[in-house]
Amino acid sequence: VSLMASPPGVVARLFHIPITLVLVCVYNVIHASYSLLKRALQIKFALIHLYDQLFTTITLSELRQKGKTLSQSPKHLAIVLDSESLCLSKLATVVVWALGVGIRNITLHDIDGKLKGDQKDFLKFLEHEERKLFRGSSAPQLVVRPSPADIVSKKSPQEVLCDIQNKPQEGTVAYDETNSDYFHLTFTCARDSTDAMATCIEKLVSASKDGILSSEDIDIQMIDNILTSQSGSKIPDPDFILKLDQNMVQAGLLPWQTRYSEIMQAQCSLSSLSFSSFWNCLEYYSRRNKRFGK
Amino acid sequence: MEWLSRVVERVPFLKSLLLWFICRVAQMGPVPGHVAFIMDGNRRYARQRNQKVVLGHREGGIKLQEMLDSCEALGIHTVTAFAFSLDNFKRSQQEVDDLLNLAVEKLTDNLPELVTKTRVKLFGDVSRVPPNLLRLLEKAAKDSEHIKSSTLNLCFSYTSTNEMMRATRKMVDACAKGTLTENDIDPISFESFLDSSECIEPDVVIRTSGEVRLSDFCLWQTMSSCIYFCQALWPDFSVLHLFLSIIHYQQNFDVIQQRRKTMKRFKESFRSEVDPKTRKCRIQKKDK
Repeated sequence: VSLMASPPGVVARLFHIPITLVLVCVYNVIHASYSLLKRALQIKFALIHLYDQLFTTITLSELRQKGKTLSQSPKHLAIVLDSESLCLSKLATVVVWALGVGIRNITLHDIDGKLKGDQKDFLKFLEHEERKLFRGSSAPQLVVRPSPADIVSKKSPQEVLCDIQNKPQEGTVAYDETNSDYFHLTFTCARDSTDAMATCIEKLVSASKDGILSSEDIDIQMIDNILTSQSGSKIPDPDFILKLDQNMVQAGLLPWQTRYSEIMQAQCSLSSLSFSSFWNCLEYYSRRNKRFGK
Repeated sequence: MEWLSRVVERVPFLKSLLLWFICRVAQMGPVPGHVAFIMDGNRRYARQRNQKVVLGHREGGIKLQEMLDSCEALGIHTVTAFAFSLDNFKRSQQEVDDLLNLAVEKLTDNLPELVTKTRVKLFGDVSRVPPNLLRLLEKAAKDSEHIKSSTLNLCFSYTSTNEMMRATRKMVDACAKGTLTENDIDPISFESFLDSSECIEPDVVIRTSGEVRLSDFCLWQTMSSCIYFCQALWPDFSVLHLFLSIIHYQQNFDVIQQRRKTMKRFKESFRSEVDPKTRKCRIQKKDK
């Protein structure tokens, strides 16, 4: 009798449970499919990597040849890594591929800065890989640039003044992008992004207290000079970010410098990145068209 | 996917049913509290249909309204929309004038209703916003100040570098006046001077039209956000695409939370020395 007295409430409750069950099933199927697809892609790239390792060898002349076929090559490549799964030897191989193809500025970034801590070990691997690839030929000389936070914090008042006035410092050599004798390597972490900006503001406040500038004088060029120039010389900002951390979540990479960077997530981890996958990423970049708001 | 979206768009009943279904499924897991849209592709949309560019922007405006309704249904309480970049002033004068006139027209029509349920905030360099448009936006911001349940951040005449520059100027001014000391300067205080000071960080940034860059949009705020690049042009962006972006967010949810904690730790420990080997903070350099 009590059931018959309130049929709408009971009917609604009766439908609510199967509908919820259906929705839960759909939710779980969607996420399971997504994860399965990701897993399938990882297996595919691992197989490609295995094939490459067994049957393909890359020579320096092949890399140089391939580099010339790109309609546009990144002037500065930033590689975002997973702090938990850093494989230094593989990373050194990837850097050497980038060098062989003609990229002269590389930033290696992981959010926690573990690579920065293992910098010395990494450079040993890099030297070994360079010798393997460049044997006989002269490899570009490595210049390890300090991170942006270190650049900003170590600027002398004279350097800050030159940045404020947008004048090159006396005796500095401007960066020459046609010079292939050197390549610049920078190690960064998320802390560099936050510290660089805060330190830049400290420098400007200090300059304001000294009467060098007022707040109205501060413009984007001035902040850019302070954040990115080292001893009056600037390398190009990263124009291509290759994410090898297997997700599309930002990792705090230099927000100011990456405002126009193309972002690509390689569908595999660092350890299963083959040369052909790396090359596909560069070809993808070469097809991009930047409009800068126009 | 595009054909499915077009079919759904044409049948209102299907659209409502799909929205109900999507809301219920999406809400089985974590839903982003803040979604940011880089609304790209209006001009290409118009060119594909051999129409004038301004009609593409008009469709884009309609799409924004629709997405606001969908976000409200999904429980997304904050939406940031990149409506007009400072870089867009480089376009032809005709297009810029058309865009600005369209903005005035759309805002005049839609703001009175919008401000009754959504707090409207303007991010951008107000000195570059035309006076009539600025008056509309400032009035909307004032009329909706009291609303806490949902927020629309309209990025107009905006770039992130310009925002960071203005925040820097404000901090230098504050130090000159004595309301801020040098010891107070850190990433956390810097955030309090940004246009987005009262907002949480975006959980998801969605860029349409297949471009894969942030184009000087909320660079500081999105340092630990999930990025979703969608091939569809903005006027073709549908509730299905929004649903996929939420699935993408849910798949990356754990990573987002972890990175957010890491970024917060770094911002709070600005003055701490870092052990170069373990990368852990050692001692405080200066007392705050």
